[in-house]
Amino acid sequence: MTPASRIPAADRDRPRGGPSVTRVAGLTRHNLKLWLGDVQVPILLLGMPLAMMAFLRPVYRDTLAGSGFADASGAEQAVPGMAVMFALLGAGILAADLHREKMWGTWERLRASGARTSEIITGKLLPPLLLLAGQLAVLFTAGTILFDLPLHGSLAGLVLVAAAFAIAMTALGTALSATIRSITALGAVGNAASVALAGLGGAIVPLSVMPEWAAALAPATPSYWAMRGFQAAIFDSGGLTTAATSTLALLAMATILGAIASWRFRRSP
Amino acid sequence: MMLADPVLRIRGLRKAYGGVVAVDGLDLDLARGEVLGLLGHNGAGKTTLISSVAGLRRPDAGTITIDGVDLRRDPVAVRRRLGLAPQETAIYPDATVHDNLRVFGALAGLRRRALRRAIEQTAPAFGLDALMHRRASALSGGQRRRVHTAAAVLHRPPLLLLDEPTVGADVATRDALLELVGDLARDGAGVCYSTHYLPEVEQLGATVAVLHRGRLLARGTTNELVATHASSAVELAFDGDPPALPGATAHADGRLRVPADDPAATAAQLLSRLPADAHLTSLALVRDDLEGAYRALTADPTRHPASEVDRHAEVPA
Ligand SMILES: Nc1ncnc2c1ncn2[C@@H]1O[C@H](COP(=O)(O)OP(=O)(O)O)[C@@H](O)[C@H]1O
Ligand SMILES: [Mg+2]
Repeated sequence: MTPASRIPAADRDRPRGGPSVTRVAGLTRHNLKLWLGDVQVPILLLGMPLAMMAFLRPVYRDTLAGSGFADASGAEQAVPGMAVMFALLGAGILAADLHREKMWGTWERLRASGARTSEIITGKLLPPLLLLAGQLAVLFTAGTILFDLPLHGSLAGLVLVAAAFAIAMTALGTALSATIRSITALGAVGNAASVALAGLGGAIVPLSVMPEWAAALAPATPSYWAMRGFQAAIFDSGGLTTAATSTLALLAMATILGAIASWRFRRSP
Repeated sequence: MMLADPVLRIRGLRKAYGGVVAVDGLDLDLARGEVLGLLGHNGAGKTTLISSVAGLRRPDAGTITIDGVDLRRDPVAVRRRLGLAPQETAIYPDATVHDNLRVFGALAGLRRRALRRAIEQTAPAFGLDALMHRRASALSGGQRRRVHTAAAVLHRPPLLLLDEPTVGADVATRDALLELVGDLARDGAGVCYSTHYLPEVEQLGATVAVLHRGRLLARGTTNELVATHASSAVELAFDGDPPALPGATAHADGRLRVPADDPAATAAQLLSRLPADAHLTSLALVRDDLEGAYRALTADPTRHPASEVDRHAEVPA
């Protein structure tokens, strides 16, 4: 064994300040590996929404035709709608993962390690953020190739909204796990919230055919702003201004959810 | 005990959960190279003490200084000077043994080659070298416990906090762990080690702190504690009235205690002299070892022979 006195306790005496790349990279890599090794991730986040898109597209084609989009393929609603709905499901999976970290006791170990809180949060949340962003990228690409999703507006706008939505979903998952303490309740509430937010936001049924009360509640949901931003890019309605508004709304929601999460985490003993 | 340059210094530590006072005004110093056996019944406050030092519980009062750094002033610097193996086994079940060690090593700040070397050195010491590519969930409880403890020592911290590390460990694992703890201490680490197995503490040549209801009852070397608190004796219990025995004192529950330098010889003597009508139901030899000292220290005061005074006090004047 090497004497403790001779091994520098890692970077114990490094100057303070900047984040520790070693710690953030180590934790990020570890979590990414766990996420990618989890079979439910590709099935729930990619397989299911693609299947749903295939089933729903003909129905949406008729619905859109009835609302005046005569030459719509149906993908204009099916692709962003299912992408939004299953990104919401991704937020639920993230919440469950954060919960498991507490159950395993590893959360306490992270807190007792030499990593700063900001380094732990980065290493813990960067992988699901990348995953959610990757999910949206794959679904929109697949939608274009498989389901003839048109893009009449700005690709940059679409990317901007997708990035902001992935951030908002990461914040939502974190806030959910911080607010709901029992894993059973988390599963139930998580699933119910996914469906409710998807429905209210116009991801399941286009806003134009939603009941009035639901349409009035819609702007309170991140899914609404995501759908609005995505469809602005798809239909070229409102252009970059709409995309920018959506992006800002999503980032504002992410900030609020993040604040709720950190407030709740701080209150735990 | 005042030390010049302790690796851990605790002053006036207090922590309550709601109405339950878990740690009640505790002072403790731990020297570099010292192994401290932290003893106490379940609920005595051992885990609360260890968790507070690791920054996982916020004390209500008191100061904790590690390696000269105040925990409240610079918690990150403090955490970089310690390694914690919590009471509950805490590893990633879906990751391999290697990946578990790698992530905790990285969190301790170990980079590439240093990390690889730390894993290569630590895994064999815990008998993990053949298990490196197994998922933790496929390990036995004892093997998981070894991964759990190994993850705390990878970076050779100046202060090691091990909360009941040998729970669920087999004899070989326990021996290996004790040897490792001894090595780390000889290399200069201070080790705070909570356990219910008193022979371990004697085997380690550790010093002892006895915690009882959040207070420090005793602190010293094993020999000091035994000399001060343990006395060998023979304890006898009878069905019905106990006979009069020379030098005996009575416990509250009716057991008799006869002090003896050589309990076995005294027991033989006592047995040969018991009246024919005495119904002896049990006989115990109380040895003057750490366990005897621990029992004497933590015995319920109302059942302790030394509490004659208390019982008299209850008699109305
Ligand atoms: N999180 C908690 N909430 C409430 N009470 C607690 C908590 N943790 C410990 N306690 C109480 O504090 C006391 C000390 O517990 P602990 O430090 O776990 O003791 P030990 O490790 O010596 O068994 C016990 O009475 C226990 O019930
Ligand atoms: Mg305990």
